[in-house]
Amino acid sequence: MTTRNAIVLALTAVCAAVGGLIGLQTWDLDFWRSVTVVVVGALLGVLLAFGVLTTDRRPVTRTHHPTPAVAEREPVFAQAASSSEPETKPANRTWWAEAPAPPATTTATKPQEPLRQGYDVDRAVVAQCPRCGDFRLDLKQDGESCAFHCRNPNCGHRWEWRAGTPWPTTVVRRNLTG
Amino acid sequence: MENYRQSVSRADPGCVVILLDRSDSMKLAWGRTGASLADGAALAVNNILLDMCIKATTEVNAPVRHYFDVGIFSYGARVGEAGEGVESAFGGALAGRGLVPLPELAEHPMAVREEPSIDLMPVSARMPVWVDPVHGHRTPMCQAIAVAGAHVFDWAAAHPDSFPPIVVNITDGMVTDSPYDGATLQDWARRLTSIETNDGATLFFNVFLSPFEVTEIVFPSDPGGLPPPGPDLFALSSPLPRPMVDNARVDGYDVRPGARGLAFNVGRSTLLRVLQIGTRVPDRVR
Repeated sequence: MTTRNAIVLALTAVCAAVGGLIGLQTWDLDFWRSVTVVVVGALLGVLLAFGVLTTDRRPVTRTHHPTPAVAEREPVFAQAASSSEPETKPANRTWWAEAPAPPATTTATKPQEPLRQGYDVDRAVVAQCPRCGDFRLDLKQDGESCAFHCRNPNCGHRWEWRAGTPWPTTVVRRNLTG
Repeated sequence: MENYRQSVSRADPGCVVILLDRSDSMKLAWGRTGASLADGAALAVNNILLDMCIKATTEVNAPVRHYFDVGIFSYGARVGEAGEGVESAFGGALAGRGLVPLPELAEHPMAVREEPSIDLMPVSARMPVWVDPVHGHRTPMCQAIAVAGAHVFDWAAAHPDSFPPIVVNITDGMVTDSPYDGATLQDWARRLTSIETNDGATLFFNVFLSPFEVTEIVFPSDPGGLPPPGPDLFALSSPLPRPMVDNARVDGYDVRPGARGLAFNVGRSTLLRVLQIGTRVPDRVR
């Protein structure tokens, strides 16, 4: 509930109570009847205000679109096949004989492919630190041997690996993930 | 590189074209539905259009995203002018339009009506309507491909990186205008499927409706056993690409290698399922 709504509710309650008290002066009721009139009046006022304030006044979203429905057409029950030849040629075009437009947009909009010289997809390894799971690694390669250094400042793990041997088991330690 | 990998997005929307038979034979009752083939086909088309609009709305009350350009071309009886021919089947504000962006389509149904459930359940729902049931005259299917092909050709030239156009032909009869303009139906289908984007060739799927309750054949991999004009439609239909094979398998169809985009003797609910399978392309929110 917003501040504005709270103020309106409070004012409504006060006004209802005042209205009830004014009514007392008019009808000269006994004490309990007076209390009843005030309480019921206040409750009705609050309920009315609550109803008004909580009514959804957002614009109704149309599930279907607002095009006015045109008069429904009856299905066409046409005459039996006429002997006339079909209509004119398709837009007087011989599109099947036209050369397709060059795909001009492809070269202009596509990003440059990265240079892949020396990249052997069959030998590529995605390396992950077996201690913290980080991918930020330094690598020194000596033949088939590789020396790794994790650049995660919370980890700094160093290990060696030789091609053909299993990758060290990765056990990610949460306190090192940084 | 494998084709048909592109997803649809606002940057690279897809294109769906439906060719709708409005020949005289579409007045026949469709099985035990009590409604005509034309009624059922129009209902399925309106359902699939609503389906596409809903799927292109990623958030509640958000506008429909421009994931597709859509065209519905009817052949047979015409509404715009008397006689036989091919025309845009859209009514109302979209009458006469070729390919319409999905958001504009969503904004302009010709009416919102109480429509029966497509799967014959005893319920109905108010839904937008873009296409009316119409029938009359013969079946100028070649001309329909010629007219739609011009729109598909221009669209593919303007969207070279998009998923290729999908053209679904809904018919109940034999073509009556082959050869048209010197080319047979097979030639026209070849011309249509020669339109390509960088992601592959235009897909041409066929759905054959039968007024009788006979065995449905959906996505066959072999024309053997198909009654006429099944073998001809099989030859015209594109092989199902990977995304559609996946869609069909998710829907429980046993899709064999070499399956074609053909559904034969289908009922009303199967027609809608086939349209859903044939027009569902993964989207990429962008």
